[in-house]
Amino acid sequence: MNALAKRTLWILPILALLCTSLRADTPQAATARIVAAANAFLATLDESQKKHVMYAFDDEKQRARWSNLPTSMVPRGGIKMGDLNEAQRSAAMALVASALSQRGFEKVQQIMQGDELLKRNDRDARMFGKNLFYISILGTPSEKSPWMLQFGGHHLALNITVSGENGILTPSLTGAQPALYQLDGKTVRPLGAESDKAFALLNALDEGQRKRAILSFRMADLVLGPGQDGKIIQPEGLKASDMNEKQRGMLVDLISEWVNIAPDTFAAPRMAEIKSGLDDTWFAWSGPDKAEEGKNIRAYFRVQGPKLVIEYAPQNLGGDPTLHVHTMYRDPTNDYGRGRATK
Amino acid sequence: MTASSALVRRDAKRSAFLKRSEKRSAIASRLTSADARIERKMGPARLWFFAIAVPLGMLCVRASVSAHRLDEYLQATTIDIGKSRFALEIRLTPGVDVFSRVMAKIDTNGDRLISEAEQRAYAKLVLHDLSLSIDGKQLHLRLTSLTFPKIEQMKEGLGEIVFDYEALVPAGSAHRKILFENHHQSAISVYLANCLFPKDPDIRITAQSRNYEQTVYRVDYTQAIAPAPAIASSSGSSVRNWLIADAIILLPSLAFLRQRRRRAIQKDAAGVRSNAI
Repeated sequence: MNALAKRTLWILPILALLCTSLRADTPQAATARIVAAANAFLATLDESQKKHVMYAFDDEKQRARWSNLPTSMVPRGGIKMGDLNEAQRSAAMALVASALSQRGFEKVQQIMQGDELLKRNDRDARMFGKNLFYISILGTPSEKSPWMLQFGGHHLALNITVSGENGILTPSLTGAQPALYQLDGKTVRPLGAESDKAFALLNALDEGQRKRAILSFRMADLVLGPGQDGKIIQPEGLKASDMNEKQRGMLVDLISEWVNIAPDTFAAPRMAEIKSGLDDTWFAWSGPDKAEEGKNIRAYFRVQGPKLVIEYAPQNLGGDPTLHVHTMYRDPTNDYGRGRATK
Repeated sequence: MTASSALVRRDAKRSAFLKRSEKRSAIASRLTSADARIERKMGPARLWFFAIAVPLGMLCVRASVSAHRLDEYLQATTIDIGKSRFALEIRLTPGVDVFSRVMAKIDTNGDRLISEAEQRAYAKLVLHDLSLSIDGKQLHLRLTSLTFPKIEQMKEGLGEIVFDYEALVPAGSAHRKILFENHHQSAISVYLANCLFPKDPDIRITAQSRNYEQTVYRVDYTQAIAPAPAIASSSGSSVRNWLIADAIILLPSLAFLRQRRRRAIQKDAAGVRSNAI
């Protein structure tokens, strides 16, 4: 394959995304687009590859086969990017792009690019790099019946359940290492907005509110990370009902960093659902309440509502915690669409 | 990358760093020999170098890519509160650098295998370092299940040991206080302690507090104690009263009837005997 053809294939997902962003989608159209992208991807695979990619929709083991850890440590199901040819890989990325918003896909690419940098810096292609991201499909892509797209690897786990007009992105894990890097002369922080918005919200609280929001104990890691499906912990911190309108707006804006990974048509009803429970949504912070300009926070925070759990946990694994971040996004009442979307 | 290759690589980096340090020191000593005044200054400078720069360098080496837990033993506990039973799950993840210290407590015979007996013994050891009480009364925790990862996973800072315990909860007032403590291998551990949101709608957690390390976790909760319905209570007591009254009336009657029957039997028996004679 010549260089021009290769470049054209890589541009396809971007073009697909551009087309998506240019037209206002209806939920049906969004689902139809994702189904078409899924079928286009499957059409590029041979029978043996298809067997690796396809799982039963209710395959609980495959559903839960995701992690923040590298794939060499926690093996994923599906097929890895490195085992696909250019055309197949392009179709796979076009499928991922079709199921995400423009910003969501950008974030995914930045996370993958970070892992590619890890590969180069650590010279370990067995553990890091874009080739080690896996794609799998649970169920049969359909505009009516529920099915699921999984895409992930080190620091990324997208579990996207599509059920008719509904699209569920929970549970999903986004992480970054390095969480700040330079690319083509630009500074990239894949999870920078999450960090900045949470820090801004903390700073918008008055003393009384901060006392309630800031937990007096150390949070060493995510509480509801991989393997903790279906659990709901007792919320704590500051309740949104005790925030003013501006602060509540900032909280919603913070939440949107995870909700809006999904395309608008799926994100809008999800955000409406979260807003309807906003009074019972809590914001908790643990760790330093200072941050350097342009860098990520060193603190852990959690946003928890009746149908929402978001955790942001800098990793103190021997390095600078601002450069290594794990985040978790859940709807414990509807993870994998178990609760509502697929009924 | 396996843990051992990571360690080998880290050791290689460290030795390269130390070699570089030695080279620098050698250059410094050559310079100092040329100037006695500088030599006097280089002595403490070299000391400072080894006191600050070397550990700092080590830290930099450690700061290289690490996807696994390193020098901490993560212990995450969740408590599921029920009216008559608490379920406690503890997930233990030893970091690469503390693996040997954790393993020493598990693999007590040192054969580099974790037998079933050693698994159970370790669950007991952990239990010994835990404490759970309600309203000041100590609860007895019983192991209900255990899961151990492969040793290879643990060596890489990935393996998660999971112990499930349960405790039966004595009846109490509507306002209850749980105190949970975990002091297992506290020199190397970090802790998380949380309560699951109660499934029982009658139970409501009202307050949570922890010390900074989360080794001490206190939970206050209320539970609706269903008061015995008034009608049921009164009818219950009236039934009891009626039964007592019935017994008072019936017992003498039964005794009288039994006596009459005995007399009749004796009379019949006497008749039979006289006929037989």
